[in-house]
Formats: sequence, C-alpha cells, structure tokens
Amino acid sequence: MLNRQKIGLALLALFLAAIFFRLGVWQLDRAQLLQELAKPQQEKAVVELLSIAKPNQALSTDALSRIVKFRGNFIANLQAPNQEDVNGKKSTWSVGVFQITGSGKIAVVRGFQGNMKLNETKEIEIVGRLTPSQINNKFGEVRSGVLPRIDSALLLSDYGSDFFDGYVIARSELPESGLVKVPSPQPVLKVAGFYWQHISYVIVWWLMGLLTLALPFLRSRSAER
Amino acid sequence: MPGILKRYRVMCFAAGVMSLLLWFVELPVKYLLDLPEVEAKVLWIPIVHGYVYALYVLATVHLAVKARWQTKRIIAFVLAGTLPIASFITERRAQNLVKNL
Repeated sequence: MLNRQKIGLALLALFLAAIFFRLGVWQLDRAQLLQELAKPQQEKAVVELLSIAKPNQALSTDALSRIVKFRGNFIANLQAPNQEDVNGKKSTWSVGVFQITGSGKIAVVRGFQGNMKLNETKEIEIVGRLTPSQINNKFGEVRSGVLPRIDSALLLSDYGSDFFDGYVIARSELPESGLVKVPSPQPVLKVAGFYWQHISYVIVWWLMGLLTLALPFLRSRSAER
Repeated sequence: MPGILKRYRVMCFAAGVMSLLLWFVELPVKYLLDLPEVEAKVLWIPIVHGYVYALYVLATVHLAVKARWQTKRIIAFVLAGTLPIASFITERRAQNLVKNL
C-alpha cells in the first residue's frame, strides 16, 4: 500500500516536472523567435498583384506586405483624413479607386493630399505595398468622397463588387501623380516580450521542475531527521 | 540559520517590491494604457522580476530544507513570491517559524 502511494507520488512529481520542463522549452522557443525577428528581414521581389491575390478573396499571409505591381486606371479619387504614417505623422491621404485592367478593383493610397496631376485617361502602372484593410475608423464624420478608414468593404456600395482585399500604399505611379508618397517600409513583426525576460521565465520554469523532482526527497530527509 | 533567514528576508522584500511594480505599474501600462513611451521605460520590470523570483525560489528552498518544512508549506511559500504582498506576509511568518524551532 505504501509502495503504491510512493509510486503514485513519484509519477505525479514526474508528470509535473515534465509540464514545467515543457513550459521552459516554450519560453526558450519564444526567446529564440524574438531573436530571429530582431534580425533584419530581406524584402521579397516585386510581384504582379494578380499572381498572389484575386478579387473577392481574403489576402493570404504570403501576399501580406509584399511589393506588388499592376496596371489600369483610377475611377475615383477619395480622401482618407486623420491617417497616421509609420513616422507618426497624421494627415489626409489621397486614396484612389483603381480598376485593374482585365480584373477587379483595389484601393490605392496615392500619397499625401495635395495638388495632383490628372492622368486619369492614360493607363497607369502602380508599384506599392499590399496592406491589410484598416479595421478601426480614423475619422468619425460621414461625408461623400471621404473614407473613415481604408477598407474595400466601404467601397462596394459605390463602386460595385470585384474588389481585392486590403489596399496598396503606392511607392511609384507611372505617369507620376505629383503627390508626395506615403512612406511604406517593411513592417516590423512584433512579438510580446523581450529576450532576457523569456530567458528568466525559462530559468523559473526549469527551477520549478527541479523543485518538483526534489521535493519528495527533501520531505523524506526531513522525516528521517 | 541566521544567514539563510536573512537571505530569505532580503529576497522576500525584493520579490515583493518587484511583484508590486509588475502588477500595479508594468501590467496596467502595457495592457490598459496606450502609452508606448512609458511602456518603453518600464520594460525592465518583468525582466528583473523574472530573475528576482528565480533567486527567491532558491532562497525559499534553502530555508525550507534547513528548517525542515512540510511540502505544502514549501509550495505555499514558493508561490507567495508571485503575488504582490504575499511575500511580505511569508517573510514575517518565516521569521516566527524559525524563532520557534
């Protein structure tokens, strides 16, 4: 009976120690992931938008933040007030509704609001970063020609279906629009926590594991005394 | 024994202060307030807390072995280091327990 109890306790201690050890490994993986993400990421090659995305379909993770190019015409120009760029500068952006030749439509951030050269009749080539649609409104007032957030869902009622998911922040427009482009550097992936914080948790979890294994022996030593 | 108890008391104080900072400064700044500048200034708190807690566990186990405490008490004292004021309470308790040995 006593042996059974001892075996049961030993198994419980082993089970708990294994859990603590696994938690330590999990924290170690997170620390390594943080180190990996801290390394500078290499920009992938420019691709045709149509090769990585389709209208009316959600953007794949592979397509997100890629630099894409496509041709077509602007069918409308709108304003997106109170937008914040990567430098924290708040301003109104000029957003065009772009009809891609032989395909769907996509919202394109053409630049900071300003005087624009009108090339709307010519075919335009856009190169820019594909970005997921905004979720939160940046501007509360509802006005014609003004976007509270850059989201293709808001454009469906006015410009019909066949919209691509997300939007593009233009890096170049040929022929040029004359607008100052909104900066769109490669987004930095952020994972909660810091390297040495996770390493400290690794130490704590493994220490707990060792303690769990040592506790039955400490107890029996105390009992002997 | 006095040296071990002293070490334990110091670690109780350090773990208690770090837990208070973690629970009432770092966590609210990180999860309740949208203040990235302040968040950057308090990022040392969880890191220091992690290492201090590891040392606290070692100090607790050392004292527990010397004082021949029961397993339940060891576990309770180890866990006390994770709560803001619990380690201050266990510090008083440990002092009384050692005195009565």
